[in-house]
Amino acid sequence: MTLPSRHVTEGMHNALNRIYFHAMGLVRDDIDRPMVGVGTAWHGASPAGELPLRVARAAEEGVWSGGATPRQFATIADVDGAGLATLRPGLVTRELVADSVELTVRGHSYDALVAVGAGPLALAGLMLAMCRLDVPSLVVPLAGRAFGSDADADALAVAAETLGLALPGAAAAGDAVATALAAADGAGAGVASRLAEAVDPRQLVTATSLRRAAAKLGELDANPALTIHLAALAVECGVDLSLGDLAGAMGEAAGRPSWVEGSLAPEGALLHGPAARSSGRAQVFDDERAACDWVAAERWPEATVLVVRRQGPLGGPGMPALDALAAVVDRAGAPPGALLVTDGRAPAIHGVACVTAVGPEAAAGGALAALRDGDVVSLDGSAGTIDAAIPDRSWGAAPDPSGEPDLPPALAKYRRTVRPAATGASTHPGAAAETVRYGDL
Amino acid sequence: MATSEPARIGVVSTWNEAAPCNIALRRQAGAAMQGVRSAGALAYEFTAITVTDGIASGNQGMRSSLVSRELIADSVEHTVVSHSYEALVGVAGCDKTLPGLMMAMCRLDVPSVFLYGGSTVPGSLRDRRLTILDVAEGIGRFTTGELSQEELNEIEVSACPAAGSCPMQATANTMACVSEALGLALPGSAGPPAAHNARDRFARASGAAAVRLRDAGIRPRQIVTRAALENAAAVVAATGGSSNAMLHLPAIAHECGIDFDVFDVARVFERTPLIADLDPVGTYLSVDFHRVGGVEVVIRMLLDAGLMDPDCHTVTGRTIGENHADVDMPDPRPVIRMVDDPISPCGPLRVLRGNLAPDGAVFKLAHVAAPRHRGRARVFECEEDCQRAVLARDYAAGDVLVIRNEGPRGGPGMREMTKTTAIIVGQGAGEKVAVITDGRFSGATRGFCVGHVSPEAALGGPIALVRDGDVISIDADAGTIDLELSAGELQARRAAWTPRANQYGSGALWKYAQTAGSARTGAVT
Repeated sequence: MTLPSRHVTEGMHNALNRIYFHAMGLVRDDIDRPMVGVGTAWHGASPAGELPLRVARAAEEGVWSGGATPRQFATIADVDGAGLATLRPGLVTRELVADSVELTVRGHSYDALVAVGAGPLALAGLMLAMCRLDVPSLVVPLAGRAFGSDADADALAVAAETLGLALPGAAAAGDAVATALAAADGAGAGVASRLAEAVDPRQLVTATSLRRAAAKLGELDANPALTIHLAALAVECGVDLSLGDLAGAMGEAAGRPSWVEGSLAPEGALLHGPAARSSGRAQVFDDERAACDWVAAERWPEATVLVVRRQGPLGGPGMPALDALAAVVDRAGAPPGALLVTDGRAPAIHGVACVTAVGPEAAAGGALAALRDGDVVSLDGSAGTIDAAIPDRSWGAAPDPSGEPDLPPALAKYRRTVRPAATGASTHPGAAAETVRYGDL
Repeated sequence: MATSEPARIGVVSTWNEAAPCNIALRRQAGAAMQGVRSAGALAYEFTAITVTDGIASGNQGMRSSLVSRELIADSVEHTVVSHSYEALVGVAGCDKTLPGLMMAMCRLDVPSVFLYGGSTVPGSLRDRRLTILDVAEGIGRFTTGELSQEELNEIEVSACPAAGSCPMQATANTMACVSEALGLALPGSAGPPAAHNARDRFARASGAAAVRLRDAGIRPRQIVTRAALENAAAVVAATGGSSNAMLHLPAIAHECGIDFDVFDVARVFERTPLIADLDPVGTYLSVDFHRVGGVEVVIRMLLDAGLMDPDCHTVTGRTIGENHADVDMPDPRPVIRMVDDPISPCGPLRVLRGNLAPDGAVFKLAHVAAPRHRGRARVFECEEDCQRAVLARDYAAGDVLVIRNEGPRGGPGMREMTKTTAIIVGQGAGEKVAVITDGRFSGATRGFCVGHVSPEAALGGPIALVRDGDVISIDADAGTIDLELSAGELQARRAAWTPRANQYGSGALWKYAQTAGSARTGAVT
């Protein structure tokens, strides 16, 4: 196989391209080696500050020691400072990170990829790009307090390791900066050997390994919303696994149901928190802020099902997590048997059963869109059902009454190609529609 | 606005190690952060990507180049909105990163200061100055046997000795001049080479200026008006700037909600004399231009001649006229000529129109003696096919080489055909053949080249209907580009035409192809 970089570095007619490598102090021998992109998803406002870039330096040294030539680049990362934001960042961040890595690697014909990231959306985006490009890749997940990482990121790091996209032990190694530096050095050298052995991500990320990663998330009692990223990875690899398959595998390992279907969610929904039976009358909100105000004022009465809709891939857009609502509920408390239903994502909320990623979403004309205050919503976790008694209001046929929302352009663009939560909220058709694999261009 | 809390300012750079254009940007972003902090605000650094045309040139990577402009703008938008930053400093080095950041500034409309990362210095080989063009044309001379492998190798390793963007009036420097002319960058900040410590001073000043703009509530859309866009187009014309400005100015205008297409840019070119004698249209390099005062001098001369609007606002808080009232003007000749003694009476880019390009095409009058060409078409369905033919010298004098399916949607990504055209020039055929494409050319292009042909082939534009042997006539003086076929024949071919699938059924390029608009209006998404 011809390495992609050979289209840039070999031959008399590529002298024009090689001058830029000479300009950065590389010599012909460096240019003749495989080129490895070393990407960092980082942001100066995050608790980790510049640490990810320092770790990337170590990865770069690992690449040199492995006999390849590293080239650093950097992307945006997870938004930090909840509460400061006027915009709730959802999966849009993940897609921007993935596209950034993809264009960088394609644009410069890199042969392999090492990527460093701390937040869950950045980590997911980096892994998406690895599978999309299908060149030898390793992610260096920065887990642990030194990097301001959270439970989601730590669990995703374990998933990355299970999938073979991170080296064994990398997920656990992050607590001390020195350990992370060593892990990055190892990843740099490791990706060089993957190049030699032609180990591409799609050989590693298979239906089997994706199910295993989902099971791992179950063992860790992680948020089932993380299976959305696994579903998106399946799309990138052309693996026929849906969100329901992955949530099912996760639930099996966790010993409790993680997936429900029913009249309120014909395409299914994720379940987390207490999974007992729960039923009540819906209190419906079209935005998170209104739901927060209501919980703060009304103290969430018993037998009331809190529904926050228009939070899906299209509606959010990007399935923003209901972090602000979770914080309000944590303060105000929730009644026994409390049930929250949303087409977005939600963090774990103490004592609350959360049915999330409901599909089809409200903005796509799903049953959620037809739900009104007072309609009865019932969850039966052990039976795996979520149903709503919605009087015939010709639901399902109703288009989104809000129409095209007035959104910042990047979000509007995201909305134009995003697919349902069941596909992991992918924004493109993935490997199934791929004409030519990047490495074969 | 509450002033008790310090303002939170985002500082974005497009730093990376893809090419020398970007490697000095974090240093400058750091200096900009110091400027923000000294002015009493908080600075938060972040980064967006780059796709460097120098590496991407002549291969599949070039399809990602223009697409990266959109992704840079989206990344900056997303980060600034998500963090509610109150102002922005943006530092960019390579071609698409400059418009990408300026587009984000206009789109967000938060107080913003742009800073160019500076160009590199020319290389040297036995007392001869070298730039990338010497390498490109060296490849051509190698194929004709004029140059040995050893000589080409020597040129290759000596051409670019340091950090910074291409050291001539190619796209990066053109857009840097635009940043000053638009009023989004501090006066004089485009000029110093990347390695110079003057850049750090400009960076600190840019950080402080962003804080002042935030306090004063001065936003990009108050600065980037139609008059400012015309000012920018005038500076591109007067300096012989890159044809890519024909895409980027409309794209920046689009972010401000201003309709300003290639024909609007062309009208400014018609009334603006070419006064700066800069490579690749002319002779001198960016270091020479900087030494005689650079774009500040050009702006002052155009203002004095009534060719720019002096009342446009800028990031200094003053007008562009006020900023340039005291520009030091030692005799800048021969690098910059006088307005009443110009190199040519109008800028060297023309927008052509005709039955081959109803929505326009861009022609660059660089090293072209006669702006007319009539010849038989040789059609290539992608750049690689044409490059192969050119490397084999498989073309004849008079040919019109048509490279299609390279438009914004068709490529996707509207690739630059620089390598192909440079090799033709190196083979001494720059005046003998014409190259026509719905893709684009780099700012460094020479030869008889027509790009941005719109509508593009992928959308069934007339360029899709051309066949080998058809006669194409181009007259840049008359502003026409025509396929010498009857309307009936064109109609018949159109009826039989079927779109040609590209190789991108998924990924970021697929996404771009779903939404990209015409080159006429900037190929924006």
